[in-house]
Amino acid sequence: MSEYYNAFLKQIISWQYELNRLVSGEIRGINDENFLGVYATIIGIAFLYGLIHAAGPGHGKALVAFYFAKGKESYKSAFKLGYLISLIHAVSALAVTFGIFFIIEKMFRHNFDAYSQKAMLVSAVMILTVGLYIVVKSYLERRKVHEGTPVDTKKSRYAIAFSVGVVPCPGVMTIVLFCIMLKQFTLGILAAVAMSIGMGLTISIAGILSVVFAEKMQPLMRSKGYILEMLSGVLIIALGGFLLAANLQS
Amino acid sequence: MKTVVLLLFCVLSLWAHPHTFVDVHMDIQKSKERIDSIDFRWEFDEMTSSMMLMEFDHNGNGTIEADETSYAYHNYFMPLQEFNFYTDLKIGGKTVAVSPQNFKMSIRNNRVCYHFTLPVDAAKDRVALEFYDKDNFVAMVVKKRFMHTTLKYAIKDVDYDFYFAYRVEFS
Repeated sequence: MSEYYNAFLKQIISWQYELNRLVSGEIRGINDENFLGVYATIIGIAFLYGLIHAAGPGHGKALVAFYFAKGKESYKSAFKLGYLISLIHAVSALAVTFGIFFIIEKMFRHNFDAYSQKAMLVSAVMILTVGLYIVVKSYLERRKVHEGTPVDTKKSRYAIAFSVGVVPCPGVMTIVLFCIMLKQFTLGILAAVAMSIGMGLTISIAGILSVVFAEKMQPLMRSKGYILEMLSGVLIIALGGFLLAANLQS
Repeated sequence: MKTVVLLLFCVLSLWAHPHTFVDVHMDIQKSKERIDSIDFRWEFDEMTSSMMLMEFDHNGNGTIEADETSYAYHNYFMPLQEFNFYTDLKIGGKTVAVSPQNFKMSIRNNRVCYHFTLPVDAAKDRVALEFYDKDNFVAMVVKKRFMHTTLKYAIKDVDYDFYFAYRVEFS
C-alpha cells in the first residue's frame, strides 16, 4: 500500500509545485488592464489548489472519516462538516495573517509559528475530548437501554470542526500574505475563500466515504451499532493522543 | 499494521503537504573522476521568498547584505542541521554527515536563493545524494534542468513509505 501512497504523494506535490508557480506568477503580473481576467484565473487556481492541497496528508480528513464511521449520520451532515471546517480554516487564516501582519509587521514567521504551535495543542486536546465524549456517551447509553438514543452529534460535530479548523492552514496564509505584500488585499481574501471551498470539498468527500462505510457495516452489526460508535471514539482518542505527543515533543 | 501506522502518520503530519518548494540546483564543474565538492543553489518558491524577505531584508532595500545573510544563516539555515539539511549524502552506500560551507544568499527573479558548497571528496561513481523532508513540509525538487555538470548522472524516485526522495546517482 505504501508505494501507492508514495506515488500519490509525489503527484500531489508536483501538481502543487506547478500551481504555486502559476499563482505567484499571475498575482505578480496583475495590472489595471488585466485585473479582471487575473482575478478570475487566481480564484479558479486557488480553488483547484485547495482541492489538491487538502488531498495531501492532514487537514483532518482521517478525523472526519473516523467521526462518521460511528454511523447514524447522513451524507448531508458529512458535507456540512467539511465546509464548516474549511470556513473556520479560512477565517482563522485570514484573521491571523491580517492581524499579525498589520499589528506586528516584522517577525511574521516567528509570531505565526508561536500561534500555530499553541493552536495545534488546543486542537489536539479538543480532538481527545471529542473522542472521550463519544466513548463515554456511547457506554452510558448502552448501559441505560439496549437501543440507546443517538449521541448529541451536533455538539461533537462543532467541536470536531473547531479542533481541525482552528489551526490556520499555512498554504492559505502564504497566498494571503503574498497578496498583502503586493497590496492586493481583496484578491487575498477571495483567494483564501476559493482555496477553502476547494479544501472543504475534499474534506467532505472523506466524510461521505466514511458515511458509506458505516452504512454498509450497519446491517452486519445490527444491534451492535454501538461497537462502531465506540471504535470511532477510540480512534479519535488515538489521533488526539498522537497529535498531543507529537506537539509536546517538538 | 502497516496500513494503520500509515493512516496515523497521515494525521500526524497534519499541517504538512508541503508549503515550501525548493528547486535544488547542483553545480559540479571541476570534477572528472573524483567529486571534490558540489556547489548548491536552493531557490525558494516566490511566495515563501516574499515571507523570507520580509524577515531577512531588515532595511527593505531589496538586496541581502552581509549582516542580513549572517542573521539568516544563524536563525534559518543552521537550524536545518536538525533535518540534515534535507540532504542525505551517500558515499559507497554509506551516509556521511553533511557540512555546508561558504553560505551566501541572493535574490533571483523575486526568489530567495541559498548558495553553499558541500565537500564530498570521493570517486564519482561512489557518490549519491538523496533529498527529502520526512515531515513533507518542504518539497525539495530535483529536475534535470537544475543539474549543471558534465558528469553522467541519473535522477531516481525513492519510496520511503511515508515520504519520497529524489536520488541523484553519478557514474
